[in-house]
Amino acid sequence: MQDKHDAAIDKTLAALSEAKPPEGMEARIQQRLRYHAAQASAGASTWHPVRTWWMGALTGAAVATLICAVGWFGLRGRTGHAIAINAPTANHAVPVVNVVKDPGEAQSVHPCAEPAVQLRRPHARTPVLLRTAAESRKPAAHSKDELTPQERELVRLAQVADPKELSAMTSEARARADAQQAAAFQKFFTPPPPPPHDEGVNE
Amino acid sequence: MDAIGEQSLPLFSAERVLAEPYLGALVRDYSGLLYRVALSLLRNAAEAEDVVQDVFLRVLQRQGELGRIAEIRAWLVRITWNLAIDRTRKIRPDQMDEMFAAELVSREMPADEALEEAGRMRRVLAAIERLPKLERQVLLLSAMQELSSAEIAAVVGKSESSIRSLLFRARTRLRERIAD
Repeated sequence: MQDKHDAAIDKTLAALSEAKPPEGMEARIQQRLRYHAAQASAGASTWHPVRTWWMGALTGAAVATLICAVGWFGLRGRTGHAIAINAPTANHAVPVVNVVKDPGEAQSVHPCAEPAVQLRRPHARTPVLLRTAAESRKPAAHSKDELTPQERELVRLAQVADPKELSAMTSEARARADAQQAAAFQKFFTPPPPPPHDEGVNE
Repeated sequence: MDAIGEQSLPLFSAERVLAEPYLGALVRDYSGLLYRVALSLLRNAAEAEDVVQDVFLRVLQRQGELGRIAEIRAWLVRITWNLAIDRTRKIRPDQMDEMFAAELVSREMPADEALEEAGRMRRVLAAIERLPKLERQVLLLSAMQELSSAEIAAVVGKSESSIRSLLFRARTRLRERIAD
């Protein structure tokens, strides 16, 4: 019985040791080796460190140029917008309107505290580029003389005033603001009424 | 700069590999043995051939080190063995026993005898599969008659005396399990 089992074991192990490789295995292995060697060879011939270095440098320079261009155009666009809103029209002092939102607030302000119109100096370090852009938005000198006072005021506001204020500028609002200004003027320049003559009290 | 570029290029080309007689000779001399080694573990002809191809690809990648290897056959068998063990984690060799046993049986045998023989072989293969890992490995490697006990010891990383002892225990255990 034991011999029978031993024989079965030996037969199985012998069958394993005598197994024949599939037909053409050697050729397939050689073919695969050739293919991989060719691939490796192609990879080695196309890879040049020097060429790669130059390609990298050129790509880097191109990307840097692109970033600079985008940054420059972005800055230019933003500063142009800022100039349209806030930039002074000349190197001289320019008037800036103080906006009084609440009419009651205007009444409570002392007439001598501040004039309704104050002067602001343009920024000393305004870049040439910004100044040029601002000047390009100025109306021509000869055309300014031909404008009516209302048109001149509108042009001035368009150059210096807040866009929100401009958008809220209706004829009623404008008339109300003019009336407030006139009242403030009258209040400032009209002489106060004379004090009552009560000398005994004063002396 | 050109000199640096040339130095960094590997001295490796299809022509050189194909002109290298050594690699071709290795394929011719050892592919059969390596196939049987892989087949004994995997029990699947296609998987065993894949393993042998992978072995020679590794040899190709390490061509420069071949000169330093003293026992090239043991080295190749060891690579094959390790790759085949890796592959047994992905496939289930025991599921292929029925077909594999039928393939092992001699084709010249009458059909009824061949069927009986295949059944016996399947039982032996199943019993081998249930052996402790090291005993199973030593038994399968010892079936390859081309391998000496020293080479088997090099492959599994044990001494020759351990190999003999493991082989004895494997056969005894296998006999008992078949008898049950």
